[in-house]
Amino acid sequence: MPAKNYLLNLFSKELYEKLSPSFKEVFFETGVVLHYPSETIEQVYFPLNCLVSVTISMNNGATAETALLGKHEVVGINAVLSKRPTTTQTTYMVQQEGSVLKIDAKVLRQEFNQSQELRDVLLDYTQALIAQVSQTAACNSLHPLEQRFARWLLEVRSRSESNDLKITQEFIAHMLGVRRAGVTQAAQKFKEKGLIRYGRGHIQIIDQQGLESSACECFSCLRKEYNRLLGGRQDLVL
Amino acid sequence: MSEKINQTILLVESDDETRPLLQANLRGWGYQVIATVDEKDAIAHTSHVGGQIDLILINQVGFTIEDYINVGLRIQRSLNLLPTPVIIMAEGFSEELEGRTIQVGKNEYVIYMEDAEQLITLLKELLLR
Repeated sequence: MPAKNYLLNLFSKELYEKLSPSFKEVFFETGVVLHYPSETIEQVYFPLNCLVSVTISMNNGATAETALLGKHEVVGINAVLSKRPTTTQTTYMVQQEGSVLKIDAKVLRQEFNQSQELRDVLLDYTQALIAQVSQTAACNSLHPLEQRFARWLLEVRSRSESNDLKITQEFIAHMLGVRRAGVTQAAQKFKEKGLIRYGRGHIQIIDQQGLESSACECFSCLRKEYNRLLGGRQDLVL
Repeated sequence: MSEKINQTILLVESDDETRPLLQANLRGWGYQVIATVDEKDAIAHTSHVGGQIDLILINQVGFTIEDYINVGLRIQRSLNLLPTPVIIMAEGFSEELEGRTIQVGKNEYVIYMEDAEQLITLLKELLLR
């Protein structure tokens, strides 16, 4: 059994063995776009150690992240749930390089239609994803930048299992939909509190508990909801 | 980090999310801060303390660097602040520029911030020399 994607770990041995010939491990570099708006989603990806940002761009070029997908998620669930396998407004971009298990969307959809077990896992996951998108929408409207930034770092950390994040402040600003200067000043506050170290293209989390105290409630709310929906064998978020 | 410097920075920052963070950090570094939203607000709120402003710090939001240098010069003139240093914090620049500070006039600087330490260093250099 694969150990790195939580959803795959929820599959029974029989289900995984049935699908495993269709899985192919692929490595993606940072910046690769897996889906542009209106493209047909032909592949579904189970991230092992890479992170994918789901973003929406506005007509004026402003961008914001609406969901973060990693080892707790699957990329391209739309193509399994719907006979219209696309989205017209979202982009899926690799934000932290790493590997995924790739499977043909049609193969997974076919099995989805036949297997109650697969439906249970993927529909529970879909509910968790809706929870994430909903929480992010409320968070972006109601919480100050400093708290959102702390939450975002914790979400990234929980999916990458690393305190060392290769990430630029420019990128973070795009994901949070804020000015770069705001990210720089928030990062400085965290640095002065001893929560992170940062330099060009790199952030190191050195006090996770302190960062949790600086984050809004959204990180713990979402962790609770993910564990309620997908937990059972183990908690998802470390 | 904080030490009593007794120097006043006029901050012009139109972004409502960045302004309080920048203001808090500047105060934490020991500076007094007059936080304003734009050129008009800066002139209106500081006309009575003109001579007490030691530096003008402007964040680039939307317009060109040149536009913001002109904003800084107009604020200087209207408040009789010459030769007060003006720093423009650039937004949306290339990796090659990151970490650089470029002097673009006698007292005007553009900072392409890699991190806030770069701003702290420039403030110290301009205000304590």
